[in-house]
Amino acid sequence: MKEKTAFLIIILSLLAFSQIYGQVGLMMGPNYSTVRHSGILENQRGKMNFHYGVNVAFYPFANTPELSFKTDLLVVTKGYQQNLSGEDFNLNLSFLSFAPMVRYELSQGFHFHTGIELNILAGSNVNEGLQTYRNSERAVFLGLDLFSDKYLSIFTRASFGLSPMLDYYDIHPIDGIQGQLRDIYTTTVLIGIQLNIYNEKIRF
Amino acid sequence: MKKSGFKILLNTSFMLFLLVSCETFVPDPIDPRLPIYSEIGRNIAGAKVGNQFFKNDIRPLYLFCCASERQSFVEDHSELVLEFNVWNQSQNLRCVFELNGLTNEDWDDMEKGFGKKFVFNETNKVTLTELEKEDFISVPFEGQITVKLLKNEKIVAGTFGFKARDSSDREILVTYGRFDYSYYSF
Repeated sequence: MKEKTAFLIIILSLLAFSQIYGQVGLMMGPNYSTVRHSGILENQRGKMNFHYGVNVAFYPFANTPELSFKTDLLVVTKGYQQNLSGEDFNLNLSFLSFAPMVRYELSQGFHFHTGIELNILAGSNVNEGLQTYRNSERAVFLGLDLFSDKYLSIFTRASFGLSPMLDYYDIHPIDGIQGQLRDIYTTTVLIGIQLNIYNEKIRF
Repeated sequence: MKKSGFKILLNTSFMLFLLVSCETFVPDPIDPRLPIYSEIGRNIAGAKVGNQFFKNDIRPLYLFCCASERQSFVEDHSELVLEFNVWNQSQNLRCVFELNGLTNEDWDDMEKGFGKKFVFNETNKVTLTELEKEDFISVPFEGQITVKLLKNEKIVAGTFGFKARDSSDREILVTYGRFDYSYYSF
């Protein structure tokens, strides 16, 4: 019940904020995620995951309507797969993502955007994953919005983790622990649809 | 009759719940075939022997989360013996590490940093035995064990790796060994 109330408050707040010339949208879609590392993960490859969330955009400058600020609140799952001894091992890390960004409209309905992701680790598919991996991540991203002036738009985004997800030990096969190891940076490509539930350009 | 069926169902559900809820294996974030290295007294160990991976996580027959028992040794004694079993689908191995001639300085060093490293030699020994055959005895000629002691928490953890020869004079490579046990002291 509390969750429903909180969700309703968020939606109503977004609608209220959007009254100062803005957009509110719901977004969802698949994403391909993998990780960059210093060779520590054997037979590692990327995997498909998903994301969903809400966003709000503002157009603060009346004389520069091409420029806008947008913030996404997303639940995004990142991770990778390892094939070891003929068996697949999956790692899924689910983040609550706060992603403020700058958007620039290159032509009508076609935006370029770039910003930063501040991610909080909220869940994992492995036992004690929240204790094993770092609980926050910073990333930068850039992407494109297509048909962003329509009720239904498409977006794509590439996100590059700047902070390591793993804070562990550098373990030599025979000599044991050599020191601390900070490694594994996420790389994620999101493709999704956005439902513009409030848009001053397509007010309904 | 119906009541009896219900009881069987209830008991079966309870047993299944115990099996599922007993999962304590936390995979290593780099190689999930091994347990994570930790220093919290999970009573778990693992190693790569040749190309095979061994660990002592819960098996279906172990219902009450006792994958492996605590270690027991005398603190501030000149000898430290660590014993545990690890297994995979086809083999059960027993690892016995014997560290002799320990000094007070050694015990102090075990509490510092990542622990104290002991190179295998005539004083510090490891025996690796395949339980079913009982003749898979290894003689290490290169390698080490690092022992980390947390005296207040009664935890002994560490890593090991070594090269050895079995009774057929074949070389055995034991790598990425790790253990994390709580212990009794006397």
